[in-house]
Amino acid sequence: MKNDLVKAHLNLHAILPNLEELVEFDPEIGQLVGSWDITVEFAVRGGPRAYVSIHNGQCRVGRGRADRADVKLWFKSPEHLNAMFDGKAKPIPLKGFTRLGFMSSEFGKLTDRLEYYLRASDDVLKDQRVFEFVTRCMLYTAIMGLAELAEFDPAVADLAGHTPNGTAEFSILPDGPSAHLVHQNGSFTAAKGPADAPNVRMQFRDLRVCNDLLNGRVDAFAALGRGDVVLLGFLPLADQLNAMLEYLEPYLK
Amino acid sequence: MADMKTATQAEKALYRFDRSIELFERATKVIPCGIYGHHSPAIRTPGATPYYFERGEGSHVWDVDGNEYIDWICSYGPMLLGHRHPKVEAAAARQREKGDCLSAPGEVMVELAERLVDITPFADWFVFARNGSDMTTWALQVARAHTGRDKVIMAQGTYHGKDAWCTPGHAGLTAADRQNMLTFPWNDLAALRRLADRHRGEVAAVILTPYHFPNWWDNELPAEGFWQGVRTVCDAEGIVLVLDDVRTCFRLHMGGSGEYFGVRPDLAAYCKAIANGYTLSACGGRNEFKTAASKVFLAGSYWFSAVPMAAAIATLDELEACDGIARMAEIGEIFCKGLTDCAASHGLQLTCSGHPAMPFVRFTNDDDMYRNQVWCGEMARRGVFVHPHHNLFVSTAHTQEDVNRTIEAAGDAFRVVKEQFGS
Repeated sequence: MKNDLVKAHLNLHAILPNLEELVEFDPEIGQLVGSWDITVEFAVRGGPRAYVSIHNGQCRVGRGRADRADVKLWFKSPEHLNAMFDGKAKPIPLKGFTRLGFMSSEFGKLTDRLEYYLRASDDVLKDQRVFEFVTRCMLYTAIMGLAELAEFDPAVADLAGHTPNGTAEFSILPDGPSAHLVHQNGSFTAAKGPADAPNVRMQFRDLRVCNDLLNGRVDAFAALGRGDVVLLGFLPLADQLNAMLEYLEPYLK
Repeated sequence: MADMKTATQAEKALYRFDRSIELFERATKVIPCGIYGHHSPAIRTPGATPYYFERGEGSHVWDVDGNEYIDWICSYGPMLLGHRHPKVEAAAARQREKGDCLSAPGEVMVELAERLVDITPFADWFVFARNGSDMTTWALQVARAHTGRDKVIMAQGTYHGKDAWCTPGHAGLTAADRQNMLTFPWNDLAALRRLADRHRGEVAAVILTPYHFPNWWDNELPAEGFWQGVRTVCDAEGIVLVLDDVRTCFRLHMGGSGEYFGVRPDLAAYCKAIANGYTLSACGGRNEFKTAASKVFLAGSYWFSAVPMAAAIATLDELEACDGIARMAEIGEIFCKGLTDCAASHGLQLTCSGHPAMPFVRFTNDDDMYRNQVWCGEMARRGVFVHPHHNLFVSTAHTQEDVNRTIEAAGDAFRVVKEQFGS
């Protein structure tokens, strides 16, 4: 069952961070934000808080309060934030009234473009560069999303309680991208990139395998048996995370 | 240069699994997972393990590529006397000639129940089904029927079967499936007492395996006084003590594994080794629980099949005749000592835990099992079937010669581990 608080966490901490990739990947977006110097904070009453900073053509998405936000957007509830992500509601500006026009016209282009890629049609995905970008975003979203789900979804609490401590690394062969997730006594944190000393490694043979698996188009056991996915190290950690992934799917659909 | 040539020849002699993998490819098109459950190659060493077997004889199995293995997995326990034991096969064949799945039970069902009651000190009656989960779940239902209570206490990380109450982490479950399950750490008697106190009058059963054998980790024997403490808590609180002897039965003691550890349960679930590979499980109980047992529905299409019951009687006969339990422990001891000594000679440290007839083997300095995974793959390529994450099983068919050949292969496999990991 979907939970609005969990969804709000996923929107801010699993999906929004893909803006960092978007700015680097898409030349038009890169050009658009090249001259921007802005930090936008999203704050949800009874929910998560995050910010997007764009300076010198680079984007960074962070958790919590921004050091210095130019624009602060407030949401009266997790439902309110989720409705905005679905294009059905507007935020309440607390700061940066003079930049509201910019927010709706220019900043909106950024999020619209991200949505375009994340909901890309099969035709769009025929472009190998786009496919690589989208798969990278899917991997990051899944791993970041797992950390949010484990912390905030009551339905996953039993699973999280049975999850051993350790670091799980997920990577697409041969050269990445990769992401990792750390579980320590009930606290889950995720990050892009490889881990220093993972307890378990899940390696996807290539982009296609990763994409198919995350889209639920292949079953994991079959992929492991075929060698399309390689699992090394402390399997119970990966096994539990894989089980949690089932709960993530309905949110991301 | 000479060394290099030898290495190349040795490399050529290593097993390949082409036919297994080809079959698996076909399977994935028509069977979810290709191979599901604990037989899935995904939890062994995919690509470096046989996926499909063609036949077995004694302590050896042959895969579909024609490779022969010393089998230390024993079908995850059922092969107690070795594959196709002649006396068991003969008894099964005799019964098969008369009929198997008949329209009513055969005489053999009564004979088997009488035999089990005779050899099991705590039990006054037995019932039969097909798999371990059939009996662990049914035993909990009997406990609930007897006590009128809902909750069940189990040890954390214990496997009791595939049913919804015992499988956290799998798809298709609801929170309600496990809402009556309470857990405590194995051997932590104080934690068990606290749970029983906190839920006084609510707990129907404590279900435990004879000792702790979680997959992926060292096996742990009961601490001094643990079982006696469990019995005392159950007696004081009116809780039914259910022994899950599914994996262990008849490898530790003819009277059930409770006898081995000095505890008499109220109910005990058997499976695995009871019929040397024929599909049979059983649950035994004390008279006090017979009325409750009679009220809990128990049925399955093949649960009265006569052939597995005939095989079970022959299995018990042979196990007694050959002093099989002592023999398995003895072979297990020399297996573990041989492996740990061999590892040490390569500068590697190995830990064997659990009962010697069911040892769990891992590299001491590798909690994550990276070395185990490489080692087990290398063992399979050299004709020894072992598991990186699950306890192994000894059968009465294993010989000193099997152990010697295993250790010889292990030496080569340890060398690969040493090269790859350094320690």
